[in-house]
Amino acid sequence: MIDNKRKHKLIVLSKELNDLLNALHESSKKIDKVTPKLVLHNTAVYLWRNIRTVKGLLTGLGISAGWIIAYTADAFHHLLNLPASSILVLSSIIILLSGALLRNLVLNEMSTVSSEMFHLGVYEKRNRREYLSLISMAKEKDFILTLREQLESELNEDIDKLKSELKKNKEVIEQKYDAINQKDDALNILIEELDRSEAAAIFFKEKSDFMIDILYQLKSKLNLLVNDQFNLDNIDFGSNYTLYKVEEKGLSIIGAYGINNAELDVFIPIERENNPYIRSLKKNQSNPFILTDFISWKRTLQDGSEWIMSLHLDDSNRDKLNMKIETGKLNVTITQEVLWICCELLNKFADENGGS
Amino acid sequence: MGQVDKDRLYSKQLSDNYILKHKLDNKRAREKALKALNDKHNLYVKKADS
Repeated sequence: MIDNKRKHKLIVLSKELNDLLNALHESSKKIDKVTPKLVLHNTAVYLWRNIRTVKGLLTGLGISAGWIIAYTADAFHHLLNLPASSILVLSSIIILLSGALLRNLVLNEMSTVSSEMFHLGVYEKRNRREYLSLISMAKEKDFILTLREQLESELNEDIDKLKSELKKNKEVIEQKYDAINQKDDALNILIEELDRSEAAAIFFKEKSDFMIDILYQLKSKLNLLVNDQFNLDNIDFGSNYTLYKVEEKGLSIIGAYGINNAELDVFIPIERENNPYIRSLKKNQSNPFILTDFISWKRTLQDGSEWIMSLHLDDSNRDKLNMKIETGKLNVTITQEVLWICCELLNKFADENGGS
Repeated sequence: MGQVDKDRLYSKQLSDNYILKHKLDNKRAREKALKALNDKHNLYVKKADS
């Protein structure tokens, strides 16, 4: 909508200017030429109107025409005494001056828009610049009024259109905003997934390193086996261990790695119930006996013999073989399997060679 | 034990380098994503005004 201030200005402009232009328009319909007859007619009307006005004024002041004639009789009396030629010259001058003055006054009246005597031709001659400025707008009636109405209508229409476009654009911005939010959410999820995937990749990389290391160790053991050099001294899994064989009355030592054999019991009787190796008799590889630095379990080998396999932990592998965490459990399981297969090989070749 | 094959095709260093390379790629991608997330294009201001 147009604001009230602008609307008021438009109304003032149209009201003032429209009347003027309409007067010009009406006058332009009557295209009479400025003839001497018209000027004389208008002069007569002008004189008559002014005489009536003066007469009315004098009457109002209580002055009669007779009084004026009587008062000015002396002046005219002296004039009448002048020679006829002087009277003629003087009369001519007075008539010419009066005529010129009267003509000018009448033409002024004819070029005044509000006057009944207004004539467009006279107005054009006497106010040419104004005429040229206004005449093009006076070709149709109510030009300014029509223009104002059109302007108001278009402005209102433009504002409605702009409001509609603004509303649409706001909706588009909202949609884009929502789309950006969705993308932000997706990015945040991707970043979180990236972090998790990276952590998982590092986890599996460590496992892979561990498994590959075990594989190379196995290859090394097989080499030793082929060369008849395979014995307990060669079985190293990164942790110290002891091996006992289950017998009827207790456990007899097979061997150890990283442990001083002199510190180990050659035979542990079954009656020593608190001995960790004896306690391991009731445990298996999936549920081993666990102390702070000790993991032990019983395993039956393929020839039916039962062995107690025990890992001795230290600072170098305590974290790696920590059964309280998943990776530690996995490492222990792998170590158990590798130790078991080595024990199988050791047992088999020891038998063939008549003891290790 | 403790023997290391001289002709080992696989080494820990190899896997370390592989992981490191991917970690660097991930770091770049993460930084780019975070930069995009932090760039609000003044839309949040407009949202607040509306």
